[in-house]
Amino acid sequence: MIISTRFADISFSVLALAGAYLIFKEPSSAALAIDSWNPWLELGCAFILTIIMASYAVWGAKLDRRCAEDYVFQLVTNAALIAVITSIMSHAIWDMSFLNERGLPKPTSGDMLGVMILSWAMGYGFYRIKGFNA
Amino acid sequence: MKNNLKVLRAMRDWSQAELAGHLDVSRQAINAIETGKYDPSLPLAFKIARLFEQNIEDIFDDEFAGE
Repeated sequence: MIISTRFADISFSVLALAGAYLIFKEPSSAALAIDSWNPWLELGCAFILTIIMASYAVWGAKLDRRCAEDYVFQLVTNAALIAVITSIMSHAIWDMSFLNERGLPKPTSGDMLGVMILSWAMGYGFYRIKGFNA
Repeated sequence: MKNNLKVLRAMRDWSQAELAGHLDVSRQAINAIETGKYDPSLPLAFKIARLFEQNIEDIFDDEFAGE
């Protein structure tokens, strides 16, 4: 099956709604911190998990390239770059905001996931409407 | 990148959907190429050139040539 532009349009519209929901939903209660975790063990788990997930993402992107037509693949990958940059910038600004001292809660992983998904969908929409050379 | 895909398509009296069918891409992709919103990949550019029996540089205008 080849992923068409119409399919991508619908998918990213749904993703935009999901991203907005993640940002605006009530924050869940914080998970209990487990003190007994060795920091080195935690670091090792994070490192191994990152390698596994990155390998999975590389494999997934290869599958995308084969299954999506060239135009859709370029739309999706260019929009993903926008999502990464937006997520890094917004996390840095939000996390270091002076408003944190005035009661603005620090960003949760759900908030950041929402920002990433929403900005990915917005990037897709921007390139879809304005084109890559805008 | 400017191109004369619309002219070539008109010469064969094809709709965007028909050209998309020949190239195995979506109509939206053809529209995006014709309006200059998207530059096709090299494999797709070769496919277009083969279909219209022309060289790539005769279809796509290299705006950076001579710089």
